[in-house]
Amino acid sequence: MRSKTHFPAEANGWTRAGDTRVFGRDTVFDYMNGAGELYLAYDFQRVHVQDYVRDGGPRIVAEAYEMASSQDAFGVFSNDPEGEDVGVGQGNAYAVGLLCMWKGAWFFRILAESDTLEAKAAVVAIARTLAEPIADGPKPQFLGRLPSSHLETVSVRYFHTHVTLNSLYYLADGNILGLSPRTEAALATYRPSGGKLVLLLVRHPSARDAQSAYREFSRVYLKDKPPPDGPRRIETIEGGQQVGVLIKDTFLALVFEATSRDACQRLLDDVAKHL
Amino acid sequence: MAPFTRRDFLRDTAAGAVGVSLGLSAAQTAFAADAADAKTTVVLIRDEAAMADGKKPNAQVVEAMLDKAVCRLSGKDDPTAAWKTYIKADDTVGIKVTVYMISTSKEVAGAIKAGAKKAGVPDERILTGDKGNSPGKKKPVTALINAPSLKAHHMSGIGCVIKNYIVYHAKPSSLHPQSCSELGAAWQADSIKGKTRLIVVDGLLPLFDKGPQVTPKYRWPYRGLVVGTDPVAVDAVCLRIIQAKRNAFKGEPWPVSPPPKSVAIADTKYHLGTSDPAKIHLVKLGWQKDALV
Repeated sequence: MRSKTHFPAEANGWTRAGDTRVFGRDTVFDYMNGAGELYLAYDFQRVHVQDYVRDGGPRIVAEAYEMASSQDAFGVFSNDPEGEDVGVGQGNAYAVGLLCMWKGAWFFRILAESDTLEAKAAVVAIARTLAEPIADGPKPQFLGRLPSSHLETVSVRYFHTHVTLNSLYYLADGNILGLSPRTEAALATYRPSGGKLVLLLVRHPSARDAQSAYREFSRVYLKDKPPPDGPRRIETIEGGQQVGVLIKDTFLALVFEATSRDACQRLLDDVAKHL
Repeated sequence: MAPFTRRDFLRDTAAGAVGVSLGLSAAQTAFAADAADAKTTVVLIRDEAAMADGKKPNAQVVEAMLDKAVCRLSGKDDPTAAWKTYIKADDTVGIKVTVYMISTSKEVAGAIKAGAKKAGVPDERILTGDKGNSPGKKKPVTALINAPSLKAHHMSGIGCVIKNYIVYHAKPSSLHPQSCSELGAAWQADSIKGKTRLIVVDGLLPLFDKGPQVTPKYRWPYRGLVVGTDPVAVDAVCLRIIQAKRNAFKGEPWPVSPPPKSVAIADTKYHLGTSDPAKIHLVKLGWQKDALV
């Protein structure tokens, strides 16, 4: 994609203001300070930024994030996918002036500084023009490993690194699961009748890496309780919460916030069927 | 020392001291009931008229709010006398605002500048800026007013008072690891060390998740300013506000993530102030509806 080619010149009366700015991996902090870490954690390549203005209307800022893969574009989007579906891209969410969208290896963030009907129409028009020349790309196949029963679909997050995990669901200071750009991870909430459980599923590059993460999790999080002989364990922690662990080949599954051992066991059983 | 984990936040004991002191644990330590029991005072002032439409700040109202807060903080009745408690006429004053993403509003920055002028400082010796233009970076200052916006931050939990000085560090991105826990190090820079006289947090339209990028669905018109002289205590109050808003939004505990360890570590390691609510006297002025703390 060539940014100047695909940012529309006009959308619902809004016109481009200034040149398209481009920030790469080395300069992204100049544009967005520490917010750049979110994108770098998904193998971000560069962001193209274009302002739009209209007399009497709010400024609109359109950001097009170029990622290394469609899986990572989806991953960024999955950080906050809740909002109105306005029918653009492979997935989108509009709320209070901000439209987030992904398509192919691109993630878009288009923000109107004030949420008006006219600005919303312009935001959607810009998004549609940006998305049009981009071919669809695959979602992470890895997400097919998540059991679908009782899954809160909108809760699913896809990521790679410890930095992202801790911004979504703080686990520990250190990178105790050995997360890296080479790992795939998903966080999801399950709500069986009246309950809530959080599943963290990780696929490591090798079974040895998964075993290492299992040992470190047991040492740090389960406070050196000796692991059982089998591939799974359930431990009671503070507040009577149950923590479940299952390891299989390159996969490590962790269940948090279960209020009963049975609920934890059932989700681990379900996970095991998908690995 | 064992690594800090999520489990530490689940405890209601001293082992979870960081979580408890910052209001992240189920156990909520109360703020000091009386100034005599506290090490520092933090003033929270709110006014419904500060943003009549919930979007555009009213400069006059904001200036009046800030003057009132500074008066209460200093114990003086007159705003001029109150500002002179913190700023001298011969000071060169730096107002360190946040200009990117969730920015400090120009109305709050303007009210602070007006306060410095009340103390007798002329326009040409009042510097306002951020990043490369941060006061003290290019031109030296004798007094700093730390004026960030109130926001959650995906790297540090909260990106407010302590984090506002990250630009003074020789390599800011080096402070990102471990949930930005060492942000207090930025306060040791020679150009600014010991110069912070006042903290004014713009809480007119805070952000309670996904900061620092602007995500409007997570902003709300709180219409408040948080004012104090202890950066850690002010951050602790700000954190309590953000945490309470998150819980209210979801209708269940929604902990700030990652845990804002930089606030507690600014206390225990860098000795920049106190994060212990029991040592913070919180004075609430003005509009009380949905104050959250």
